[in-house]
Amino acid sequence: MSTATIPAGAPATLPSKPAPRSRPVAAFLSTYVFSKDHKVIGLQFLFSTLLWFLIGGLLALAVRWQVAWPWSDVPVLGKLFAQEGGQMSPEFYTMLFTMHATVMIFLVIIPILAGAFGNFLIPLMIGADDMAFPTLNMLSYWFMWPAFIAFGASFFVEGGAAAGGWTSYPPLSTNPASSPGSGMGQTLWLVGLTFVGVSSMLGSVNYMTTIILMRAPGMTMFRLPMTIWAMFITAVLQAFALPVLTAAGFMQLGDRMLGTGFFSPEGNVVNNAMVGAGGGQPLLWQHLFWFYSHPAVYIMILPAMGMVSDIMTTFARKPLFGYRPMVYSIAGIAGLGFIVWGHHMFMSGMNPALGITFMVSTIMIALPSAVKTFNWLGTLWGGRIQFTTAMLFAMSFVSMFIIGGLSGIFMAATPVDIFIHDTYFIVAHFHYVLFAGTAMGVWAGIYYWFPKMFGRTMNEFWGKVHFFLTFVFLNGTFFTMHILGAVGFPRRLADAYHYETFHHLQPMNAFMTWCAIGMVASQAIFAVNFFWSMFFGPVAGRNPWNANTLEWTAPSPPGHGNFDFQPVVHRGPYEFSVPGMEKDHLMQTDPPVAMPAVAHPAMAH
Amino acid sequence: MHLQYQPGLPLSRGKLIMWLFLSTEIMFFAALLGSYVVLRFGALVWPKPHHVHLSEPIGAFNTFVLICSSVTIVLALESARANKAGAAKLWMLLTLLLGSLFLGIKGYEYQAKFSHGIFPWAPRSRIHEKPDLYYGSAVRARLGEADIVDRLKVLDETTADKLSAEELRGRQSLSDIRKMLANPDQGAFDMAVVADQVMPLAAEGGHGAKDHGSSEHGGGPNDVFPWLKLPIVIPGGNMWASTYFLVTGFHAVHVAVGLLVFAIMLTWTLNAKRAGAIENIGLYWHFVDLVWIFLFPLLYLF
Repeated sequence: MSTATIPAGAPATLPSKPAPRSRPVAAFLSTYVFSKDHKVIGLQFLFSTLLWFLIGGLLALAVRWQVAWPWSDVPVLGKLFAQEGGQMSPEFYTMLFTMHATVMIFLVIIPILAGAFGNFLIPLMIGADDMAFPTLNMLSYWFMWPAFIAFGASFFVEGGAAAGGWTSYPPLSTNPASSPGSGMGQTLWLVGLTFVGVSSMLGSVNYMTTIILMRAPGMTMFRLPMTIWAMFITAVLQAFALPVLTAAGFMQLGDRMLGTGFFSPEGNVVNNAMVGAGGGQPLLWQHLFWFYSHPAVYIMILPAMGMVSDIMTTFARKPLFGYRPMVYSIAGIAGLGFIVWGHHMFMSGMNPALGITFMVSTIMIALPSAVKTFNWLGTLWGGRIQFTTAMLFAMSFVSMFIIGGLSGIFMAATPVDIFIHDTYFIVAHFHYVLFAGTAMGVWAGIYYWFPKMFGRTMNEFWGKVHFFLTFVFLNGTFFTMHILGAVGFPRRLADAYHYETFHHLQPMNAFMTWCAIGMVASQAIFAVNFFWSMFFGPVAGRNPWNANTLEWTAPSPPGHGNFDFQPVVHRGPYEFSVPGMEKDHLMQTDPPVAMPAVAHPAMAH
Repeated sequence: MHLQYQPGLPLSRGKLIMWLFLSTEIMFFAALLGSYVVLRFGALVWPKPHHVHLSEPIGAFNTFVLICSSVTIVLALESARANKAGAAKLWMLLTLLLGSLFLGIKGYEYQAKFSHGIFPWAPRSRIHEKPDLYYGSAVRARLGEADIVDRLKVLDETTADKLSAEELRGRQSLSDIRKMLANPDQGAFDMAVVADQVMPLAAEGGHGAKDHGSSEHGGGPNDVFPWLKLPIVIPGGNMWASTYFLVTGFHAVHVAVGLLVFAIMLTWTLNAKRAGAIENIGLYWHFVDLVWIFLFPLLYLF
């Protein structure tokens, strides 16, 4: 174990038992529940979001069930919700896909990346003892609970949970008469969204302050690991985009609860009744919503990109190919991400000149994305690759992101988008980016940082089984969606077979549903591995992967205050396979070394 | 153990996070004001300030009050830096009072809207967009309510010498309104006349901007008899009310939060140690002030 700067005699792990306290209940509450320690908060985010991941996955299975075998009795959920003897209604189906997307986006992906990994990793990787504002950090977790409760309770109120799509377009969402889910469920949806927004805002300003002010001596901005750069830029996106959605959410709440008319158009008739005074603009909601929700797409992938960069360099034993271009391309993606929201609205009847502007700016995002992709490939090129589970997930992140990125260009081009809009092609696209991309990145991160979180490593064999099953089943589920979309199979319809054209696609949908069931089932392997390894896995030590970044100099798991010595940074995070060195990597804290005059055959000519 | 850091900016943590928080607030108000601009300039008609009882002098005075409070919070900071805790507390108290005065004036303005039936929410709002048949039936329905019928009966039976000139005019226009509504041959234009009798918008010249009294509409019956509460016609009025209460409401919430913090800080000893905290809340207070500087011209002057 290479721990050059770690003081001699420092134990591999901190003493595991804290000193006994006189008030055990209060001690338990302050250590595990209302903890201000960023690591505990990160793990609280992790466990909460993994639980919601399961719920979101089950909702998705119910959606798939209806698409594959419409109107047949739903196995478990049907009895749970007692929908006319187990058969779901069209409204229930609409609710399912709305809440699947809502849960996955607002309660899983965003909080697991920024909340769980951001919280756990930022202070550790920059050499800080905690966040700049620990209490604020704790609040950012506890503000998630009103959201959890609001979204969770909305399933059980009259009319069921929100059913207007996760985009909540008015007037469908603003008027309770327009669908059952637009009643109390939609109100709770908006309340939950507001709390998620407050939580994200508190988190993001805290992250930015911490990264700017609390880096260890020597840790300049351009010595930060990619994970931290990605978290930093994600925090900027959250801080600047999310307040817009919060404002829009308040306006929609006003329309629903107070009778204001921001989003009610003139002459709006719902169920044969005039609604609202008119004069509002439904398209205004779409602009405000996508002004947040397009940057949110990058909030949902940039941290995974950063984590994957760190994992890939560690297991390729090579420096990151093009560190600065990687940083600039993340910034470029984030910057462009603010001016492309209109590509979600090509079908809304926008001015063609504006449509072309949005089309061009959207296609431009392919440039920084391609920079990243080629740099990842360049990092792998000629490396001594160690195929650990984390590496497999990281590599599949890159390959799946290529598929998802390329199908995104289809959607960016207005004429193509008009053809495939609201078909399964778009469903394929964002599942390749968000599930095959981000979720794979998240698993890579969990397998990679699990030793730092719990002091033990996860089982590699079962990790690989988990990887291969997930990889095969996800492609079986999502790749076929491209084909469905290309022939025009519509999304969001409870029974698309109503149109005779689509009858022959039922077997394909059944195949996808079987794959989806397999995909969810194979997560059981992950769950067992996760909890078993937490208690019985092999003890990891400080630096099990021979990685370079600061978190691996701290004990596993780090105690309160993180570091048992003052970290001082001497170099960037990716000094792997340095020519002429005995060990194949230099940690950021390793003292400066004299380089041999001629080090490498490539440098000799 | 105590760790050393290499800060990227020469700012305290509190100041940096306050600046970052304020930048998220800028985006929040940018969304609200952007929506206001889109809705306003996308609307077919937009009411003039005096149609909706918006008084420029009151708004201007309120702007002045808020700017003064921004000055006093700076003076509080200066005193605290000079370690004059007593003076700092005095200036902060003055800021708190000025901020409360702002909210008080805002509340008075809201009251003026509410008393004229301008509400942001539909069931209580008495605003109709156009003088159509729906409007006519709404006025008729109001006049037919039991307690209004009783009061009208009392009013009709009162002898003329017991009523002021204004009340006489109001009674006259009320009886005109009732006559027009009872006319079986009424046309669409009659409703416009009814609307103008209820709330004479045409009298542009003399009032509104000058004095904000209850008689400013030259004795529309709603103003003369506060219990009457007849529906009114303000083209574009509903969307105006929605946006006005949205933006000023969220601004008022921010003012109230600032006042709460001031009240908490007044319990402290405001010496040089607290200068950082005073500076941070001062930044917030300047921001709240700045938002109003944008709101005032957008809402009152354009």
